[in-house]
Amino acid sequence: MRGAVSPKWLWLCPAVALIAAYASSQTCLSLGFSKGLWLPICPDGNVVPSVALNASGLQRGGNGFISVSLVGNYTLANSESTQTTPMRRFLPSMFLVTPTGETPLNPLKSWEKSGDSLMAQVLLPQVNDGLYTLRAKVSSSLGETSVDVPLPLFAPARIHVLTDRPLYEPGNVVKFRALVLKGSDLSPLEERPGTFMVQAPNGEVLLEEKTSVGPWGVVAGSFPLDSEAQSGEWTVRWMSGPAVGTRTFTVKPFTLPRFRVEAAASKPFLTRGERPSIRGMATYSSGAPVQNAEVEISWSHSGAWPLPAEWMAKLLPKKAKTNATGSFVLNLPQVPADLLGQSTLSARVAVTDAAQDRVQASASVLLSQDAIAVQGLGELEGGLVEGFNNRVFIKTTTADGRKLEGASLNIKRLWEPNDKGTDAALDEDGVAVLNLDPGPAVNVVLPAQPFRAPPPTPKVTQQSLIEKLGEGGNGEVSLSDRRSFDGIFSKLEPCAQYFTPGGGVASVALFVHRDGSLGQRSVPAGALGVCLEKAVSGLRFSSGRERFFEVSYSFDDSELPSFQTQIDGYPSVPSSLQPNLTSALLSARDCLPRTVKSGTIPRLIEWKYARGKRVELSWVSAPGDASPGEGVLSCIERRVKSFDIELVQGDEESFDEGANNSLGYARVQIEAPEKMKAERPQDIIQNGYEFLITAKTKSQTLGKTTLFMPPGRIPDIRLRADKQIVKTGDRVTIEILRGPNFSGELPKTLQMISGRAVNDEKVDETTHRVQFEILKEFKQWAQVSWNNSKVVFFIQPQDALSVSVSSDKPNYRPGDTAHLAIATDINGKGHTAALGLFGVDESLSQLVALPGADELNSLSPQVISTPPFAGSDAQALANGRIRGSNAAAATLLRVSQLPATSETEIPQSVSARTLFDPNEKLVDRFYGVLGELYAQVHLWETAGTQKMTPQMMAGLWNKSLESIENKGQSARDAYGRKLRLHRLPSDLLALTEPRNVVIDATRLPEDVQNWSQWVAKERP
Amino acid sequence: MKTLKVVFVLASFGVFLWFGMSNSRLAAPSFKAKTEALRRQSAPAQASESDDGMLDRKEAPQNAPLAIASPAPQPTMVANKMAMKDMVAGGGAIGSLEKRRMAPAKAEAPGEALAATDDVSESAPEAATRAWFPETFLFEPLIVTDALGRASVPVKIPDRLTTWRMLALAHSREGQQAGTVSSFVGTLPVYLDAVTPSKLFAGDEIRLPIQAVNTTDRSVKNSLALSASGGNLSSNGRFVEVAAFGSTVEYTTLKTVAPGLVTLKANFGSVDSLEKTISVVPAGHRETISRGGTLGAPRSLEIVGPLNPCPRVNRCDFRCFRARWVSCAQNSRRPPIAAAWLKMRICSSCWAMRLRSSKNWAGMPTMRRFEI
Repeated sequence: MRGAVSPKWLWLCPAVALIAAYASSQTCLSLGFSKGLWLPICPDGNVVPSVALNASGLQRGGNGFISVSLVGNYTLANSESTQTTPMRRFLPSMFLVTPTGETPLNPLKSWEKSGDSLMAQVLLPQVNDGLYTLRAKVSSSLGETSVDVPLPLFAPARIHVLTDRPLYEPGNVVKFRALVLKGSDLSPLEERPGTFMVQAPNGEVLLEEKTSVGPWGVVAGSFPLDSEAQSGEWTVRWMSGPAVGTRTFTVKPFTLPRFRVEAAASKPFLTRGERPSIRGMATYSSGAPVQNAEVEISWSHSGAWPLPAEWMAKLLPKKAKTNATGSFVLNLPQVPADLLGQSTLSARVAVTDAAQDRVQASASVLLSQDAIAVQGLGELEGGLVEGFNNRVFIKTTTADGRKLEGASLNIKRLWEPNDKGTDAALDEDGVAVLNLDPGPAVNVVLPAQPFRAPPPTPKVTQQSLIEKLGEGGNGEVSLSDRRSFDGIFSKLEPCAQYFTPGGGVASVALFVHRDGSLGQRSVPAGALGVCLEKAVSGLRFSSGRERFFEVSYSFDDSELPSFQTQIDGYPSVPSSLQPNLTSALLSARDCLPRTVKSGTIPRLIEWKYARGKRVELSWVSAPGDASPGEGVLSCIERRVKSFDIELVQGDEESFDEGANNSLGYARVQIEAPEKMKAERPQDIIQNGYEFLITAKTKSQTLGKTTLFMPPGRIPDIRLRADKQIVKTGDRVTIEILRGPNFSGELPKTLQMISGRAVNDEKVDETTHRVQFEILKEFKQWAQVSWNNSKVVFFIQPQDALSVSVSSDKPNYRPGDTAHLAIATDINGKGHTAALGLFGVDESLSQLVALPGADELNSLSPQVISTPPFAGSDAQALANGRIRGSNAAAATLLRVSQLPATSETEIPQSVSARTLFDPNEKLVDRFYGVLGELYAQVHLWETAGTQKMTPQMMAGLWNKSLESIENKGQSARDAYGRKLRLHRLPSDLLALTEPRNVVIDATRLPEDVQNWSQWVAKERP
Repeated sequence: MKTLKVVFVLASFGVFLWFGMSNSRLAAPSFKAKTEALRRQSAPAQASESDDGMLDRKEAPQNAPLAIASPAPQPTMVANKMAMKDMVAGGGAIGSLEKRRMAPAKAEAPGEALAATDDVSESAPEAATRAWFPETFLFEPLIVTDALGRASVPVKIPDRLTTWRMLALAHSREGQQAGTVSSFVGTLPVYLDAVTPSKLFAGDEIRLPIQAVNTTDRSVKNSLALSASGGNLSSNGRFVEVAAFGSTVEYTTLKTVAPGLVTLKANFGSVDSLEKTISVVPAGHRETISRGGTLGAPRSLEIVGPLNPCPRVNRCDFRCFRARWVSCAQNSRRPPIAAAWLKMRICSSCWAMRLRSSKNWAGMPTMRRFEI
């Protein structure tokens, strides 16, 4: 029969059966044939797929690598653990999930096998910045599964955040605007998602609002401050990916000033002998003058030159009044002749108007020794090098820092009297450059500032005051008597001079009669006693009882100069002569001013002593280094003429040897008080070079001043360019200059770098020069460096944007409409641009600094430099504030670090894996069934009276499973198995135990059968 | 005993109540002001941005057309009936806004305007009231110039007499930036200025200086009329003469009675009229009751306040936290009237909050405040 198996092949049937039986004992044939998954043991339930995704180098417009792998998760009967097996046959599909839907990412070639994974290269489309999702969908014999992974795609950005004003009151509305620009070229970055965040001073975030950047990279928002908003520094941020822009603003109650006070010195600076004045004006915000307003002035001073003490004490005006035009003038004393360097006198002016509103302002007066100010910068390290061609930059301005228009310099070596000086021209920024060989360094004396004595300290203080005749004898002194003693301090002060250096204590005792008159007094002996007696005799007391006072005073002579003597004589000097002469000189201490300098006075004392007579002194002129003045010397001579001495035993013996008299001389030295000596400035001697700089025009000399420069050092290698401010297309020549300590070979090539652009050029072996062209790829900054030496170039921008805003009228009435005309242009030609316009009351500037026109400069790449001169840093060059070639070259000398290379998008690497957690589904669905079981048991309890048995409970559980599935809910675990009791883990099974489910315990059997054992055995 | 019953649906909430006792000192603006603040907060962003927190504005803002982007609406001055009549009649006195607009340029110069203000009789029309004193008068985040680099922005001049400073920050598509600062002056040849505190306590009595300033070359005589609502003034003004290029200060005593707002109005005939608002807070102590919790379903909340609270100064703050499934109980049971009002507010608050940030809601706390 056709189609029937030939009997001769029938023997194969048992063989096939045997092979099949053997194979089925080694592998799960059913799964193998149905799913293509060959496992040794058939799984209990389904095999659940999970996918793993790894992506690297993902970049918009660039190729990234993606790897996808698939595993099957299964479990075995009687096992609670999950087994995995890799799937080798599957087909992945990749998608980029955008807000509009899924965008397929097709492999550039095809999926390639790599172990158990499939790998492919994909091209990421050019989408806007944002947080996207990378999705892998995998289809296999186990079905279709997918995995998502977040994919942040953000270009490096620079964000500028600005609020409508920097100061708010609680209850105001804060308006803010963020400008988002690409980090690479600062062009606007549009449609980029981000978040505005407003943070209170206590750190609490009060607003987090997701917004996307609008046209021209601008996004704005607002935040209403609560009427009880916390005072302090608030922060508003706009964040997008890793880029953050921040602005702080202040919230506090404030009142805008009703008027403005402006005050300024009559001249930008004043020199010796001039009389400065400050002119001020108070004007209401409306423009009307503040008339007849009280003006109070407080003064402060800064600078090395000390202000004369009397200026602060009495000469500087403290009060003034505005006139009918709202102006006022403060006249200051004449600038002293001892002014050295520069010093600034500052006035804090407070004006109070008729409505008692008070507004403050400040003004300063610059006092300058010279009419011009100079700053020097050497090209070599540190300063100037002898025997070398030094390039020196000298910035010269007026004393107050203004440019000298049309001026040139003459630089003269002060240590060479016959030097006629070198002339140099100033550039637009007032910087001159010259080459010079200064020769060996010399000692330069920098004169000390004049000395101003500090305010005197009290010379006398009362140590004790006791009245011994009082009731109780406790020594108490009445208030009126204390006032009497307090009144003689000024009279006691001269007595301090009678103490030998170091001061001391002196006591006085005195009787006071009932009528208040002085009675007997006891004072120390000598000149001190005379002085005390004189002071005490001026005491006046009120009438009362008899009083006996003991009072002691402490005298401080630390601010008084003193005398020291050196005595010589023939045949000998009486030993008591020295102390007696010193004691006699104490009476002349008050002849010396407090600020006298130490030294030997230009007088010699000739002394003569005859036994039994006074020592006679005569003063004669002699060389001396102290010059206290003739008046002081004559005072001393008048005070010290003669004095008595008493011979001691040794002196008697020397006189007995033949001589009846002796004579000799004494030198007198003045010792300035230690306090004054310590505070007196001293001249400074420095090694270096001092130049006399003269600024002049064709017709007149503008001023002279000196410039000190220290010695420097020659570096091993210098790179010097013929020009450093360049334009695209320019050619620059760089010369390699070797120092005396250089050893080794010069480079064959040099490299000019600007951002990521590079230009290599060969070095001429004979001239050691190299020429570079400024390529159009070069932006703003370029640099050539070799062997720790570098030269920096500033590439001038060809197209500079400018903006202007003008109103149709200068003045308006409230309620008028002002028409603001806005113009944006590049190099004078109109050009489309976007702008933000922010208008505030200018009075706010009196309370807080308002943002200025250079607000957006912070977005430009920042270059790090040390300013060679004040206000001349590299950022000022980039912002166009430096125009002179010399100033620019000096600025470029001090550039230490150029901006980082232009920022580009960073490739992203992401990975994710499908989470397979069988417990989650098991537990979730178990409780659903358990709830149904409770309901079933409750029905059972109400319907009958029989006892609960394990079989009954198992039946109710299975009934619950069916009931749940009939409701359309799942009663299966993660592997698709029904939640039969024997498949439950022990902790969940325990929840189904009859004793835990049956409420009425009388329905439970008294003979308890172990529930888990029963389930394990019966597998219901 | 004051009891509030609140029914609302929120994911989570926090309730903070402030009760001012009859003798309580509570730093809160009045009911009217808070309601106004609430209105502004819940209003669309454009309207909210326009007033800059100024509660004393007299008219709704008007949108002025712009070249590219619409500017923040600015309020206009109030022209009273007299001024309006005057406008219709085309009289020459300085008065209404419209008249100022219509006045020839010559008449706007200080000094020349004096001809119309010198020796003005008491029957002369009153000046328009100045009441809009913002610190920020212009906030335009984005203006785009045309191909010729031109744009024009009309902007209303506020009532504050001061120098207005404008900062313009520009950027191009090619990556260039620029900035500039310019200014203009808003002023009047003769004007009033009242020096007022921003806040007073109920029962305070203060001496208020009111200054009349004349920047013209001829003296100005006029009656200074003073009035206040929400407080008592010691005088209603008097006839004042201000010398040429001079100023004079008149004083009046203001006594506050109850918490709320005091509106001080000073009128200098047809020359200038000024209106300033001072917030008056209770002179007592504040009591605060806070309630909070999580909600998964409509809940009822009762808050019991102190006895005899100071009227019109109580306040209820609701702070809503992350609420992924917030929905307002539009169909919930209608509660009592008082609670319904509150409920409505709460719900509209939540709804407004959701609406405002429905696409961008990030779940951070946001607070809303209501008068009770």
